[in-house]
Amino acid sequence: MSEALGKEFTLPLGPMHVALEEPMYFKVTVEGERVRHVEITSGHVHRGMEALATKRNLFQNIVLTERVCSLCSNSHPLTYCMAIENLAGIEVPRRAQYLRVLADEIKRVASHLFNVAILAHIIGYKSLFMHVMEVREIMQDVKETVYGNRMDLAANTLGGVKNDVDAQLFGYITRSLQRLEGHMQEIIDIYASNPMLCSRTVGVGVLPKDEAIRYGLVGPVARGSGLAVDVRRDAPYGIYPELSFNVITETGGDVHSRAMVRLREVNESISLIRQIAANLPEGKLTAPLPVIPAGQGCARTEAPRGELFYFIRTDESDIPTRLKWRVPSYMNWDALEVMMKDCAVADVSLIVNSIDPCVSCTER
Amino acid sequence: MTPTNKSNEIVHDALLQATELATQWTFDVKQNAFGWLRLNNTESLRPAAKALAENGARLCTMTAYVEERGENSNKKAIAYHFALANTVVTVTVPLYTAGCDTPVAVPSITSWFRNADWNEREFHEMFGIDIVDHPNPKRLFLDERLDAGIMSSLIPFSAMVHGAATRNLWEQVMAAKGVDITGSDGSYGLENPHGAPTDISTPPIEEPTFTPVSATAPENGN
Repeated sequence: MSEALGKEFTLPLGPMHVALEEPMYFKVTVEGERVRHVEITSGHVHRGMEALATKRNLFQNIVLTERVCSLCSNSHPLTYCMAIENLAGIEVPRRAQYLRVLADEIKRVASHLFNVAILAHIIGYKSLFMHVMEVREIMQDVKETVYGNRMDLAANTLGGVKNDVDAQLFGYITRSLQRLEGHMQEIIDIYASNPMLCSRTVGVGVLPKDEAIRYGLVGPVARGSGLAVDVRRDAPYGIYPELSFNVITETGGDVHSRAMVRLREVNESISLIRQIAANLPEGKLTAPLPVIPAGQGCARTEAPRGELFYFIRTDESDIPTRLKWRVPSYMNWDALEVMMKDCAVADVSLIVNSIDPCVSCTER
Repeated sequence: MTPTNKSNEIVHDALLQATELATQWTFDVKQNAFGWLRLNNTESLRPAAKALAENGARLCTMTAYVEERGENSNKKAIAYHFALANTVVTVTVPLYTAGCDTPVAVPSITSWFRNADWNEREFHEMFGIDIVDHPNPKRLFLDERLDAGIMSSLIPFSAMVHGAATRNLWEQVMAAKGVDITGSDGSYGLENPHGAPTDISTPPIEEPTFTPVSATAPENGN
């Protein structure tokens, strides 16, 4: 028995696993309890969506891109619309820019809280998992009340937004933020100092800063390794240049650091939503649309998981000849082989969750 | 348009030196810059990638595409998208030459950009574009048994809706009962549904005959 423990074995993990949100398959080579090598196999939810986008017109693709995945469902149509607006030189009205950022930050809060809740679930801290999910329900209720849906908000359209948010709704949003804020400090304190939580997350799944740069990582994964990249600041879009916020970084590069970045970013998002509520200008919701010319355009936004990139090519028809998107999980997933190197087998699912993987987004 | 800030100028000059080609610039309403450079051939890709890497660029992604819409078009190209602060530079490489649409192989740029690995494997399997010197040339999303570029091959709608698998199953059921329904040639090309090309020809359908509709009511009054 002791002789067998010293040998290397290949351990299949996934594609269906209780601790994985979506199908992923890892061939993990283990030596005793330590992971020596990870081979990632993907493609279980590849749906050919980019090909599908070239069969639909520019408006239909707003609906399609919103359905790439649910957690960052607002970021996709937003960035898609921005790529076309950049291509055609469309200037979105200021009120619409505010409302776009509002929808994006509401989604970011819900997405981040979901990820840190799953962290608690994986380590067996069930009461914390239930509590964070219950707190997250505040933002789910906001989405349902303001947009009529808990996940796909249908907020964006070419040249602006589809629906207005009136003063009464903003009053509701503000009261909801007060409720949320009341819980956030307590949750952050628990994640920052709880001995059980820290013992499972500090020093686990370490990604050094130089590796984060080498893999081209983005979002909370990169920021957790001390790499201060954030499209909202680096290549400002929408109304972000007029809003005040901090780019949150941690230096540990581990599971704990990535969770703390997300939790502290929730507070930044709350601040951004408050600024929007206080400064929302009157005005139109959409810009007049020109004929979309033949050409090519790019756009980048900061989705909850990091930089989201869209590229579109058009001819003179209303159907794109090519639509490409690259989500942050694409690179973050690849870098799992660094984070999992020499980790304990029991930590594999915890490390996978720490990149907040979005498999549906990645495989398209 | 010309570059407007120091960062863009550095990228512009580095690419000009590496490729002897000038980058074109566009800007969004927030003055974020977008550089567009089209290389003449794949030979210039490595120098361009090297120049961008040396100036701190990060590879965002790559887009393989067919340049013209249409079933017969096969003029493929790859757009390499790089980010540098508020600048995105797209370097496009055509993969065809005059009179020849068969895509040429492209050199891997993983030496300078580690995250090119997945992108290159993806366009190899989706578009059938070969990569030179890729360190890990395995499938990314699609199973090894599928042909490279299969996603862009034409599958006639009739082939799908005829339900080759269903017909195959039906033939097996009937064969078990000793009934031959496969026709005189013994097959409709359906023994290997994964093989290509699948013969999708269907047996001639006899036109049904109808009683002509009379303009007047029948004499018996029915």
